Amino acid sequence: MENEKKMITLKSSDDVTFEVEEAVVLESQFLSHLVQDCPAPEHKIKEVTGKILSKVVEYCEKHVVVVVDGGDSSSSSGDDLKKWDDKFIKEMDLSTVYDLIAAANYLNIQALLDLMCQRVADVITACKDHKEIRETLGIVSDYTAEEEAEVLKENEWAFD
Amino acid sequence: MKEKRKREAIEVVERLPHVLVEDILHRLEIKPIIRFTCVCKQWNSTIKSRYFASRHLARVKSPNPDILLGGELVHESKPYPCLRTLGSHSGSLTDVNYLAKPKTRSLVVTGSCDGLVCIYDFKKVLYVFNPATRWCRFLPRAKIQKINCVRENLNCKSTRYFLGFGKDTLTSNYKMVWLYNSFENLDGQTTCEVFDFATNGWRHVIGSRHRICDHDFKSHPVYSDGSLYWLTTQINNKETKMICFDLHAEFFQIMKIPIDYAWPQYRIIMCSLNNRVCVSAMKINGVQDIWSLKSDDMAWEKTYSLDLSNTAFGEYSGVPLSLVAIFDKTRMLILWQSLDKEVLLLVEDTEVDFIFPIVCIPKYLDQAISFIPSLMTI
Repeated sequence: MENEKKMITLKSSDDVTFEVEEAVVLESQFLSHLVQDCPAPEHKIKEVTGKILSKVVEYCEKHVVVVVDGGDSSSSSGDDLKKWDDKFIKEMDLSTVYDLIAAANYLNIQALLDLMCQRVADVITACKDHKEIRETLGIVSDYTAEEEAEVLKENEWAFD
Repeated sequence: MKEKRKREAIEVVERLPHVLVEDILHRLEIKPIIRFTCVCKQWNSTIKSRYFASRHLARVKSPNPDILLGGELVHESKPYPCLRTLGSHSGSLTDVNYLAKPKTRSLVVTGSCDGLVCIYDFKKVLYVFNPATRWCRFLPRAKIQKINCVRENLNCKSTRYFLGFGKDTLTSNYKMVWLYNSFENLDGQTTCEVFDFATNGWRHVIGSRHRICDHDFKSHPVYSDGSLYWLTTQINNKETKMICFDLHAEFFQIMKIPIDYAWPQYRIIMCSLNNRVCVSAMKINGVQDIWSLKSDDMAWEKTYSLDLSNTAFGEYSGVPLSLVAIFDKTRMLILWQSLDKEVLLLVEDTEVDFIFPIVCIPKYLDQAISFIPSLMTI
């Protein structure tokens, strides 16, 4: 009885289903409330696509396993988890990162949100100037040429 | 490839709400954020808001402060003030001079609060400065500065009382406090001027009944957690005590310090370490003791003891070493000045009792202030 884990099915906006253990769902504040309030075996998440939900499930499964196995989460499992996180982000394009930020925010998974936001922050930090930031994030400048020259002059020191 | 990147890029702005982009920006260090202000007007105004600066400051990850170094460089026999920062990660010195052509000399720097400092002289100049962003706002002169100008014209010596700067933690309003011994009444009483940034003006509040220490050196007021602190004078054989000014309620309290009555004033200094006010005394055996004030029960706790007796840095004048900051919990950054050498920033490892120089800085940089890099403006 004890070993029989309760399974829950999550269904994405485009009807891709994922069967996961209840513990995995509890990584998300939003889903744990949903599961508590409405004990149906299947839950549809209209805001998240199958592609992104698979990433969310992958992340939560990894994190839940490590915490359970590690017991008091020893440092080695912490290091392993960090390595896993690094690899998880590295393989991802920015478009997926943005989607995962939106999903982690909606599902309220703070650790995943932190990880993804930090990834974008690192990308911005690596941009050498405002033009590169614009290009990377797709921001259209509303400065006139004179205004831009002025603001650049004022902050010249930040561009060396 | 470029096409793909562009398509991705356009998606992000449409997909992520403003608040999530802010969340990302809060994780950036100062330089990349400043570069971000040049991207578009909307983000420029968001980043420059007080709200954004407070949230960014609350998020600061690194417990180690940067260091602002100030002093007077003599160039072609003319002295002019100089400000530099020392990055805690990079360990490199960067010029951050605001004044391109300073008209004054002898600039003094207050302690920092939320990454801001006030820079002033005793007669004319006063401004609040953010060394991380180089933002600055000039401020009207205090009465004491005007008095000093008048006294100079009358060939009297101008006074050198140091300015205090801090924050009313209940309202989050920054204030400057200039406390000085009254000229008219020799037997007590001080005059206290308070500057409100909201009204951009100085006003008087009731001063402390205890005269303050006006030694030329080391008598800067210290800010910690909503209060400013001064040491009282030892003149007339009075015991050195500490005066505490609550920046919200605006009244003074007197408190004891854990240092023997017999210590000469020049052997006692105040400082702020780990956000606590500290007093420190250099004993005759070359040991410098440091006590810090616990904020919960307002009791003194002996936190560090630096044995300088077997080093070159100890008893050369009996003056305690200036304690600048704590790094990595156990390393203390010390400013050491000698008469004939360069100034050194030293690290004392309080766990292994070891002192070694880390940075050698030019001798004219004789003030070192720790600050947390922030986007704050007033």
